[in-house]
Amino acid sequence: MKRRRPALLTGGLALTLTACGTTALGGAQLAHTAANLATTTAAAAHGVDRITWNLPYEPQTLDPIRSFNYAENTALANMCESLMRLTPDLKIRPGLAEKAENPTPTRWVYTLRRDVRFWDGNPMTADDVAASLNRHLDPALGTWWSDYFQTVASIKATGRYRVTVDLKQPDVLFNQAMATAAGAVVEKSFLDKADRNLGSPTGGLMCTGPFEFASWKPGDSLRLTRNDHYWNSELKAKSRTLLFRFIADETTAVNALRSGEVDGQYFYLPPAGLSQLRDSRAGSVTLGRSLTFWALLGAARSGPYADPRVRQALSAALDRPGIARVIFQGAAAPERALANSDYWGYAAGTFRAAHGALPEASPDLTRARRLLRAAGKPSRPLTIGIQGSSAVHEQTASIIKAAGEDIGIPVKIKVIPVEQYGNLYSDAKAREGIDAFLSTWYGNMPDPLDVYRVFTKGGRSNFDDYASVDGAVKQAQAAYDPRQRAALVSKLQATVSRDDPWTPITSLPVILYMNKRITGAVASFSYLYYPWAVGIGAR
Amino acid sequence: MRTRLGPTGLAAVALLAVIAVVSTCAPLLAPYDPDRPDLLNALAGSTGSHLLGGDALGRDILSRLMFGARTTLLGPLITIALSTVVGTALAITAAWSGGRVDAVISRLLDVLFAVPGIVFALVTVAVLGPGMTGVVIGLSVAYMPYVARVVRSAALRERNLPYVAAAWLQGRSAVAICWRHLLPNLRPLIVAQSVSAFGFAIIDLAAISFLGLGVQPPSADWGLMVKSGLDGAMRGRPMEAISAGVLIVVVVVAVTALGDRLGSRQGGAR
Amino acid sequence: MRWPIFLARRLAALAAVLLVASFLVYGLLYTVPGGPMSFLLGNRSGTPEQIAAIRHQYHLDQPFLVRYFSWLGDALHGDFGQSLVYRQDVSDLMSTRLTTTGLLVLYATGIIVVAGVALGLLGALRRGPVDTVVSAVNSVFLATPPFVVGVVLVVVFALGLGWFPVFGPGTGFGDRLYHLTLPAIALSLGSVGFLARITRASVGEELGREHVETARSRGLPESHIVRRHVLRNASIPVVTVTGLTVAGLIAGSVVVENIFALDGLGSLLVRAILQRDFAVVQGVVLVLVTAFVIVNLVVDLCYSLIDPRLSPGEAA
Repeated sequence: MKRRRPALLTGGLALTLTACGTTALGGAQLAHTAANLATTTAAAAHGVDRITWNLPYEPQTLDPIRSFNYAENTALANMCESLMRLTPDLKIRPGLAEKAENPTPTRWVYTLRRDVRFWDGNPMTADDVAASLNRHLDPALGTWWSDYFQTVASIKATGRYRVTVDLKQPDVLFNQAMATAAGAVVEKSFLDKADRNLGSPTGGLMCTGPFEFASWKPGDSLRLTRNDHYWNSELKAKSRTLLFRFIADETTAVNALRSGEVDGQYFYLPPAGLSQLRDSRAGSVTLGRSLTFWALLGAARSGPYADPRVRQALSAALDRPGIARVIFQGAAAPERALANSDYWGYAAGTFRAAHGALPEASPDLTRARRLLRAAGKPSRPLTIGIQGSSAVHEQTASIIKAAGEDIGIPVKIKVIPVEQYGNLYSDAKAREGIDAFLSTWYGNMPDPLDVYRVFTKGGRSNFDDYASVDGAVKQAQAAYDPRQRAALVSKLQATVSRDDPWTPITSLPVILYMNKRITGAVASFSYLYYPWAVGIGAR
Repeated sequence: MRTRLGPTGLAAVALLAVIAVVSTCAPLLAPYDPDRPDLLNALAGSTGSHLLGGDALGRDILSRLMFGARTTLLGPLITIALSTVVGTALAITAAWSGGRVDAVISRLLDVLFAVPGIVFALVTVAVLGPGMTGVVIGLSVAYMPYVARVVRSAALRERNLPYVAAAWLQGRSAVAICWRHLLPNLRPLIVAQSVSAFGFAIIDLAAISFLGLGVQPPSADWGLMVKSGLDGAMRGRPMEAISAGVLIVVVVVAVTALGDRLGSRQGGAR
Repeated sequence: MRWPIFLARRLAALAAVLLVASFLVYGLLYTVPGGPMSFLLGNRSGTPEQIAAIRHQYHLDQPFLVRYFSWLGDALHGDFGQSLVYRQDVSDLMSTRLTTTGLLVLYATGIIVVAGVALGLLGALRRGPVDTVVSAVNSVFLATPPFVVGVVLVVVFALGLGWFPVFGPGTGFGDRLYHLTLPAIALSLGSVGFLARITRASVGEELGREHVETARSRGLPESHIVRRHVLRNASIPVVTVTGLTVAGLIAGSVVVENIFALDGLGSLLVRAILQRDFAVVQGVVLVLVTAFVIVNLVVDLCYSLIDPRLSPGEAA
């Protein structure tokens, strides 16, 4: 309905990028604002035989309950559908469930569509849904989505096409999570048969989406073919085959894109060759709306960085506009809150006002020095963990180091190989001796609460045990009324922004590159959960 | 002695001396703090205030080259020192003792010869993790057999000279003879060998830093600067990569030339 | 010494060297601070399940020597275990990448032989300014690390002039060679300088020999003298050096593959080190060492064959 407008905008943006690309530094001065970010790209005229798409790395698995990262979800989104759907304009709409009701604050009732069939032709029923969701409750299976299931008491099929979820406490985020891979449905008989092999190269998948799992050659490629009996005529895939490659090396990927060997890729961080992609005659870059941001995640439980004043001082000294312009080559916007404006899926007016009241994103050295004087001279240098072989990490860390040393906080940089970086998120042992680390991060739904929910007691990503908003988060989770929730969330956002357990740096748009041979991919962050490839075809 | 180095050798010595002085006095000479970003100067071309321009973060390239000389040359220096000391000690022990000791040491060297230097360094990095320590240890071990082989054969020759027997008859201890007589006589050879190896060590260490397994950012290092300069080069600013690369080549050319002079002087004397 | 005995001795020595080297490679990885477990887990604390799985996979319950010999036994059968990261057999991972590395080394060898001998002859036969320039160029070639050459080639030929693709291995034989051209040049340049030097020196030496002087005094044409009298004799050291150089290229390919993002053994090794992918590191290093040792042996044998003045064995 509203898709045409952003599509036109995209065309305009692509033109701007190409025009800027002819200047000496490849449009490095281009800055974006939320207003000019795209959600979709121009519609395709007709399908093509094969689309080759690059993933930033090879997925570890395609099992929905353990798919919670860029490559995994990019691939999975075209195959497995969820109860709800996160649309390209970042709204939550019905998916496999035709409606979600909330008779009491602690109960969600999902009425399923009756026309959905799995790839093998079997109809989808409440048993499949209950079996899929209940896997999150089995500790032996090791779901990565446990945060969204902490409030769940039980999930039951209460009719052939009805699933009832009972909660231990009210949780407005649960229903929104059903629009992510957390709410993905796999056929029950297939689950039983595949067991732990589900989603592996040999185990495969059995879902309902517009593309079917065809084959996965480890180290080489993952092949998806069109589901010709797909239930939803509006989202039927235009093209026949979707072939994923796993070129992890950024420079190689950029060159494969430029040469046309690969048709497209989503980047969550600007590659060093971004200007080459912008300049390329073979295709174009689109910047899309996104829930992703770039931040320094605090992980200190003791020492100087555990003192909020030290964190605030460092934050106040950061030149965010400079970082966005130079390091991100203009493909990022300085951000003063963790949740950027694309999170404002409701009561946007309240959030806009609250956001405006936060401290500026530009550096304020006087304030930084004053804060540090109050905290006292740090007893030891801060250690910041960064990912190896990443220019963006290394360069941001250098800026932070210089900013810290300007105001009197000595900073040490610890380089961690990219292959081990993931352990920082999941393992306290890996974080030993690290006060903070750089990271991209994203909430999964258009609700700022989803970002701030991290800061609950014992939360798995609450690396520095920040506890000041624990009660406020629970209160907001129970606030089903959007206006009331917006007020609560704005308030706790102010607290978090003051204490800086995580320091926001920039918001990151989705960077989508497509060869000019094709068009029609979703440009926004919903590519992680929405069948973004169905519209792709020839111009 | 000076005249024997010839004009090329002298020029090489002069150039290396200049680089040694500049890197030692980098804090005094460098116009800027090498690690200090200046976003307004990012990927800027050369100007009056920044002679070689700025890198991707606007850090002064000239200052980074000056400081980078320290890490770039210190690692190879330690590597050569370690491999020379250990290699010479093993070689003289083997040559002096002969027999079974010599056989064991020679076989050990054969095994080490079977592993290419850079591969050996990569294995130690795999064990100790990325960083200079692992690389220096690995390369020292890998270079050691080359020193040992040359020194051993020279020491064998030296050992059979009459003065050694004379000293032995005078009741000098083996250690004393090796230390007082053998070693000083072998010194020119060892020096020539070390200087040549120094050139290879610079190349190998810079290459490993370039691969991201040696010196870690944000330290300035020439190998690392070639790597990080590649991004700038893709955006039309190759100064960082080119200047660091040229410096590596110039230093290695000088070192090799000096090694050749010393080596041929050595050869001529015998 | 007679040939069969000589060959048998060399092969036995080679086997012994490889045995000890494999022991070193295998054993070194067990000397990690914190023991093999901390290495295998990377930086993670690991669930009991993971730990049990790894203990089982690497037979950590057994004594070290038993583990080593079972690993070696498997390796002799081409089984290097499974990669922790890729969940694939190490031998499969290596076999697909062996082609790229092999092709790269062969290509570079070709360049070295042609360019090195040509430059060396040019220097030796045209004394004076040409020789001086060639010598200077050789010194620079010798002193330029492959990664610097690689960067210069990328900047000038791939990005600046656009004559060559920057990265990737290409598909099909012709396209592969085209893709490998810049990497092969980067890999070979230092050795070109070295070989040119050796060629120049040995040709120079031969030119000054008595029989050449005699031939000249008999008024034979210079080209005939060079071909018949000089090149044949000068070729012995040249062949030896070429062989040794090829062995060196095996190590050099590690660096070059990374610059040009070629998916060869070298880049597999570097990535495996960063990922702490134990089995892959062991496998690739063993293959590289074996290749290195075998090439060295072949060079030795060739040397003994070519030079009639030597009986087998004296070459070493």
